[in-house]
Amino acid sequence: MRSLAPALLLLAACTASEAPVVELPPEARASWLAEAVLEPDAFEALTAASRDGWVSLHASDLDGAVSHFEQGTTGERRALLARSLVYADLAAITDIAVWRTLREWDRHELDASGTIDGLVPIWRRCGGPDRLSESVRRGRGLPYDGTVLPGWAEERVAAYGGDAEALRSLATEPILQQGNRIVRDPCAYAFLASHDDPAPLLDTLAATEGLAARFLGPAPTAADLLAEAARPVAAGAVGARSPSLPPMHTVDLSTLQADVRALDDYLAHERERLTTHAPDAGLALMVELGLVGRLRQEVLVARSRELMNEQPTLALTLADIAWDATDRSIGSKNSAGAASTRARALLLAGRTRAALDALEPLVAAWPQATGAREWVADLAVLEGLERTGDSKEE
Amino acid sequence: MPSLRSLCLGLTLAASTASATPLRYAEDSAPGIINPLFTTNMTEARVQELIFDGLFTDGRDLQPTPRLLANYSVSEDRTQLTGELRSDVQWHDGNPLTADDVAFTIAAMKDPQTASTEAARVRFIESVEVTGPRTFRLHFDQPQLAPEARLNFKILPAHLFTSTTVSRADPFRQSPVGTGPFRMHAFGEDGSVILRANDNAQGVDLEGVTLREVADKSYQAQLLVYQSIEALVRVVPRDLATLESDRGVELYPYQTNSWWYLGMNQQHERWADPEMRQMLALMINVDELLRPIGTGDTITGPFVRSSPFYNHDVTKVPHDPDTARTTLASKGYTFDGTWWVKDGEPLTVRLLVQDDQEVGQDVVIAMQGQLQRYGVRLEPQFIDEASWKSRVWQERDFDVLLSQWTFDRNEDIYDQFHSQGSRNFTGYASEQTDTLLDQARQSVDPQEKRSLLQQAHASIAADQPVVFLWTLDSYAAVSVRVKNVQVHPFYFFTWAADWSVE
Repeated sequence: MRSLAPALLLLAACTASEAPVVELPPEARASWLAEAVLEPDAFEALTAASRDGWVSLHASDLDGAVSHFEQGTTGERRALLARSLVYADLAAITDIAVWRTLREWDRHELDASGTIDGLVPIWRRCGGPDRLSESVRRGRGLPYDGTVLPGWAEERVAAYGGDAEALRSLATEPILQQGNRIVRDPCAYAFLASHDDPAPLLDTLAATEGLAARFLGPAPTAADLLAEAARPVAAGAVGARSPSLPPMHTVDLSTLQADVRALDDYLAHERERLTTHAPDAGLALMVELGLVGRLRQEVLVARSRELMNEQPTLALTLADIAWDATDRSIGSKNSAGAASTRARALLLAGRTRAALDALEPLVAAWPQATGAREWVADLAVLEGLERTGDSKEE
Repeated sequence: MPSLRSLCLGLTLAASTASATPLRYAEDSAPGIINPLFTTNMTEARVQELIFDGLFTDGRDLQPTPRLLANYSVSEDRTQLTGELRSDVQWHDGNPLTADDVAFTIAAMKDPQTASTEAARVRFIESVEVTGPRTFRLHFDQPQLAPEARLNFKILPAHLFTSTTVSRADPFRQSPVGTGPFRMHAFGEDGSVILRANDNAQGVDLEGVTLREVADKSYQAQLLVYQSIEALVRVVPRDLATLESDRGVELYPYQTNSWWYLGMNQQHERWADPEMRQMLALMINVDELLRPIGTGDTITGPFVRSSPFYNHDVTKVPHDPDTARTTLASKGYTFDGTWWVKDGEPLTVRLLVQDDQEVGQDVVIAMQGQLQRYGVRLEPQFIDEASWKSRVWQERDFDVLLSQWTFDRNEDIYDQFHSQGSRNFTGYASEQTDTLLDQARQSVDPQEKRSLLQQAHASIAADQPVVFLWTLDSYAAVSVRVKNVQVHPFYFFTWAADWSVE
């Protein structure tokens, strides 16, 4: 078998020599990637104002980024938007998990008196924001009509009234703990997401000139961001169909694969073009900060979010492809949004146990994700009650 | 002499011709047995997923979906399931699928003389009543909320067996006949298993599937990159970066829950002593062993860290050779300057390892160095799969073993750690752990079940029946030429009938 090796190497050489050289249009210079790499001075100017903020945003330390950027700056808006989108994913995850937990509880004819009975009214209350109207509809269909858990309402008035610190605490700590029974707030993430409403943040960013509004984001150019922000989609999907990128045709696995190939071709050509034309400092920036990989992940995550509700299986495949397998932690290679999107898609696709794997790095980096993880963990156990487990040696 | 250009063209053509062949995937070793009655490892489970069907299978949403059943109903008291088999399903040898096949399979799995490794999966079925050529009724030992989720074991052809007492050596293992999307074609001389598409199955896009035995993990990755195979099931962490950056390959998370361990045989007097087991755990520097293997998590008990049952309050056994030495001295061992000795014999750990585990071999070499440093001799013994099945699964004939358990999403550790468990190779027996596992098995409250299994984690960790090592990141790699790929998180090939190769 070893004798094959020289032939394989030769084949690699043959394949490599066939790589096409593509001329890209001049407007490609307008992407944040090209701007940062071809004009390192622009990047220097960007980061000079708040180096720590951009370092945190690059490392997906979203709380750090929010605190490091000065209030009211474009950088702060970027960090708030990124964090709000993660909260929106966690809100959706909690919502799905609560709904399925209540459904399974009912199906298993388990004792619903006390805490579970009291959970439904709470859950209904967090149906205020439009995004949760579906959960309210589902909640109304449930046969429970208990009273609100004792002490719940009073303690949460301030939090739901807009106290972000109190909300973050709600996301981490249980509402109630009685013996084995632990109840988490089903609404905390929905309120956290709406606390920094993504829609106005996005509108402001779309109207803002300069690299700061787009750097490290899914929309490469200012025109992309403007066009995308005008689309009637959730904020998380902005960047999925940027006009400067190869279009998205995904309707099934086959077209999805073709779309990813087209995006990868585009990025490969862009990398090659920039490698040819960039000054050394720009080139070092592109490589050391992994900027091409970052743009790819941001775009794929936005596309995943766009397909999430209608085609969760495709959304999951995109989220899987977006995730960088070489690094299991949240950081420069894998953003918090990439993890939360993947967990959400897994849960929607019925992979409850796998969603816990996806949430693990997020919880490690970000304790606020604990509440969502615990809801999903309970659901995973509940869904497996009637199964016979299987185990094998590997 | 051919020009470089023509050589290039030739190689490229050879590669593209190869890509028109059936899907080829790599495993570390070829399965020794293809008989669902005796499945012990994932290599067997994966290839069986291609050849055999169950009454139900997992749909894409992982919900149980009828596979061999045309229709079924569950009695109101949920103690019976009445089923009618599909009329369009035949065995690969052309015989019709009948209700007798269902009855035979369950009887063979339950037959104590067969000693099926899968017997526990049908324990809830009290009896099978054949009511017609294609109809049957299953009677359960107690009400089953969702029996569909428990009826995914593989159905076998009754007409190819003479009795429900089936031997592991039965010729069926070399010429398996199923109803699945692929039929057995041949065993290759190189250990490969060659399957062809089942002509009677509808909607199978692949011409066939070939399992190639490739023990060298690095070579597996090379074969994939250069299109000599289309898939490899488990990528070792050190190859992730290479494959992640290869545009011809896509990585798929393969989310089994797996962990490595060192199991000590507690039928042996030395390892029956918990302090001696603890001593071995203290001597081994798990982090140092893990480092060269790649990204992974060390674990403190029988679950992976993301598990709902993982007890995060259990602390890791520290690497503490001084305390280990104190234990040895208290047990009557003396240090002769090189080895710890008792009754004139140096303390020797005889470690059993399967010879096809490349990662295992690396771990053994490193562990040998560690223990030698502290005066303990490690004698590894690398054995083949057949010997492993015989010595570990049947005879429990080992001192210490190095292996890896893989669990489906239920993460049911009963068989590994309950004193009555069928996979409890080490002979571990703890009244406290038994009680917790029994209660957890009976519990229908998810939070109570979590709490009980977290307590079991703590109880097992305190007893150290095994040294828990680590869980590794788990990815499969598939060529982008393979379309419609979706990977089942445990059985891998459940939906392979929909795959195609460009």
